[in-house]
Amino acid sequence: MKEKTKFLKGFTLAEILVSAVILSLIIAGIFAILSVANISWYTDMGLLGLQQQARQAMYKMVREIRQSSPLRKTIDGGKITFYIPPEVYADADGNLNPWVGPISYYRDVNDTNNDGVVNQIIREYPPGTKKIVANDIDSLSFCCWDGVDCCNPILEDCSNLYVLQIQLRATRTVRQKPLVFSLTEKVRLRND
Amino acid sequence: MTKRGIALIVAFMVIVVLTILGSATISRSVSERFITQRYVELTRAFWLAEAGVNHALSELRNNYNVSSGNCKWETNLGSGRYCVDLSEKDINGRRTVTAHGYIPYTIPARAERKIKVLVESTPSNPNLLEYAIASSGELKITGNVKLMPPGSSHAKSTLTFEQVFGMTKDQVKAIAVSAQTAGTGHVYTNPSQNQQPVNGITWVDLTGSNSYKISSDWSGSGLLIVNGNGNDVALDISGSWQFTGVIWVIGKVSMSGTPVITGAIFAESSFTVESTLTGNAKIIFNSTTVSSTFDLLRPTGLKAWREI
Repeated sequence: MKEKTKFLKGFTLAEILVSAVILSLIIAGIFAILSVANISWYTDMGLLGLQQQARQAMYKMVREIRQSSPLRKTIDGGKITFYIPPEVYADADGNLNPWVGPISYYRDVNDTNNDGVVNQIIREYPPGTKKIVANDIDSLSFCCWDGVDCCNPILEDCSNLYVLQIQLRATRTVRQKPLVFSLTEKVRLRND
Repeated sequence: MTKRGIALIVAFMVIVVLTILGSATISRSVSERFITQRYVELTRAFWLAEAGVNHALSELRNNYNVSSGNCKWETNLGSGRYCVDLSEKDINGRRTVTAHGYIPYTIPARAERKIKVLVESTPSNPNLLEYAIASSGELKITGNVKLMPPGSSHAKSTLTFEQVFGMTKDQVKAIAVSAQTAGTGHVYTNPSQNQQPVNGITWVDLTGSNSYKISSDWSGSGLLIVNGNGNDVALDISGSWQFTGVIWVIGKVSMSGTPVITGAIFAESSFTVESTLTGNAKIIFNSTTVSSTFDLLRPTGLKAWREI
């Protein structure tokens, strides 16, 4: 009988309490780690998405603006309007076809495309036809680059400058955490 | 005793969760890496296509009449290659160059960018100038004048301004006026003796029987056009100095002293006018200098650039 009770001996209350506390601490620790990882995952993914769309927008703008010329573009702060050469340069008689445009890129701060969303980069061509290039754009600016800084069109003649600087800043809030990504590119206009 | 497996279950769950998170992160990273690699390759392909355009321009500046063809110029550069198509001339003499940039250079390429440019040639014909000195009228060469190559002179030439320049005098003067505004040329009327600077495109207008006198302490380069009355001495050269480029004189040339001129001189005058060269002048005909001088007017270059 004595032998039997020896094998049936359970945990003492103290043992169970101590093990419960230790287990709680471990689970709480794991949960805290997972929670931080979860937040980090979402913010990192959010930042990646933000960077990706900002880069894509910049790539698209650079690729198209590059085809313009100093005299065939106008810059009004956050808006650029320009022309690019036609796909077919000349007709059968050798006459040059007109340039394509005006093509505009600007930041939509007043929801001009009526989609209920502001702070988008809009490409407009032909006039009245708007296409969303990127969302969550906090600022967008264009300027002619004189080699040192932005050329001030009020004080200087910027019409002969071939290099443009494009700056954009994208912002988004993910899980109460503000994310910011800025991008600056310089593009040389290829046409005279 | 062996039934207490809670630690194993917890550990297993943690491992499962971490594995899911880790694999998702790795998957995203791999995807990002591919996107980045694609971007890098497209950027390289673009610059290879740009290299192809520059190659074609270089070739066309040497010989604008080169034959057309697909993949006419092809070069491997780094991990990629470019291939350039050249069209025939259109009705206005323009040619289309389509440059393809590929990454990698092997076929098939993973990334390709294409640039199409319209190329226009200078309307001038510098190759018509074949002598160190030529004149529409008579040419009298005495003394120790050295012409390189020897005997490189031509009297009673039938060349006209329009034939050589491909433009009228007014059009060329307009280019000189624009060049003056841009700081790459000069326009003078009845200039003083040894008037300087003479570089880029220099247009000199003379009234009456005035002449442009150059004696010493002078040097010049580029395209110098002296617009005289066609009969009197328009360019009066003496002393010791150097000039590199092309001198076109509408009138008579009188040369003495020891000037060294590299390029070509042409005196456009009536048949009865005689230009004279005496002294120790040295005139070296150089077709490359002549050709590049005419590039000042309108070089073979891009009329339009577009990525397709």
